[in-house]
Amino acid sequence: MGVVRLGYIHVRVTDIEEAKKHYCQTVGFRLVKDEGKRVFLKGWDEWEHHSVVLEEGGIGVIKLGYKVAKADDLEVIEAKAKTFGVAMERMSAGDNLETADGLRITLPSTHTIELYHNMTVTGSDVGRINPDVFPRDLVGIGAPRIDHALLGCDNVNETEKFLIDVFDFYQVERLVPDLEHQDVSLATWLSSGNRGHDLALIQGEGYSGKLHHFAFQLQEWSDILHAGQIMSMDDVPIEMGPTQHGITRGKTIYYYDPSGNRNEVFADGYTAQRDRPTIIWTADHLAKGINYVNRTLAEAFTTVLT
Amino acid sequence: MTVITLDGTGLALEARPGESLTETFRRAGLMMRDGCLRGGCGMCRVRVVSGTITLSRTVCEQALPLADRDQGLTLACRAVPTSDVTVAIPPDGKLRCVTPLLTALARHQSSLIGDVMGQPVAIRSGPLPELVPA
Repeated sequence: MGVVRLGYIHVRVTDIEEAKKHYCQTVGFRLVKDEGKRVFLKGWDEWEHHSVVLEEGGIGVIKLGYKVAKADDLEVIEAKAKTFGVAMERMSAGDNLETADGLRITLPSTHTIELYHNMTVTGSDVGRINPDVFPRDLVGIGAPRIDHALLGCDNVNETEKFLIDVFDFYQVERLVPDLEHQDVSLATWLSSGNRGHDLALIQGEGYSGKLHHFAFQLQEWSDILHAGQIMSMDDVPIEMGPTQHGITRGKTIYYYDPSGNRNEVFADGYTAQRDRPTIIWTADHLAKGINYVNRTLAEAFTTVLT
Repeated sequence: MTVITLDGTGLALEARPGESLTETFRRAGLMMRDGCLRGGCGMCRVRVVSGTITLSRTVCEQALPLADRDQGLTLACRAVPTSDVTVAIPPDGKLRCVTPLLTALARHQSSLIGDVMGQPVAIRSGPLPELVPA
């Protein structure tokens, strides 16, 4: 089975109180553990203990946790990763709050990925038995869960090969310079299940180790508009949208959290399949791929990573 | 009343209490190069030529190194004047007029500022959209 999904993301924020207010009141995540300068949050439809960790001091991403289906998967991935010679260590139960042991890997892009197979299940807000379709006390956007992350990378080809060979991701879409160079990835969208992407990479000098954005999952186009309405009420700076991506066909808004980390609300496009031929975007169509409707890109979109 | 003078443009804007430079610019129909508007990306750098500002929120080293702050650089989205200030926007800051209606209103207000303070503020004449070459 291997990797199942993005389970948690741990990011830096400049002001923990402002961040808490934004992620809880605007995004609608729930505070599950408050350690003062570090807080743990979850969405209403997430059953594990937490999915977002905010830590005061700077901006950017500290690490991402991807859940694997079985404990055995960790050994399989560990063996494969050894052949790549990347930095790797076993992590102990308790290294992460309410999370069992796992594997900590430094990607060729220098990002820290933690693979885990067991986090305490605390249940979703609607429960498991005859659940209602959403909780009555949603706050703000009321995002049900996290979705995916897009990471910066100096060499996309190198890191995507690692993710495909070791994590068993498959490539759903790829941005290439032109049709004569379809083997050169400028950006890549990788999936482990049937989502358009669970992890994506974008190339740029000095981008390794950086975060382009992480996303919250919404269900429908109308949810995206609703999110935009809430953002306007709360003076959240929007970079793009509401619009649709050509790439993944997802519906989207890009915006910034109070520290300047880029976030996205994202509602799925098509169902991805392992045997679906990889979709190719040429660089001259990048604006259409990212912003299908308006076909414009804000200057910051491809230049600012945190 | 706090006045923001835009160096080299002859334009002076009235700042509302607690308002960031970016907010004042936008209220005056002006835009400049910016990004996250949260003090995280560092794209809206300007230089404080005279006067004082405070940062309304913590701005990290990554977005605005301390060495740059020492040289008078700040981020327009987080800088709030604490006195009358003169601000220089670098050429790559691409200051431009995007809503002439609002800029005209701001010019009118700034001419009143001059009257009120007894110190006429220089207002450059000419087509509004060419306030600053892009």
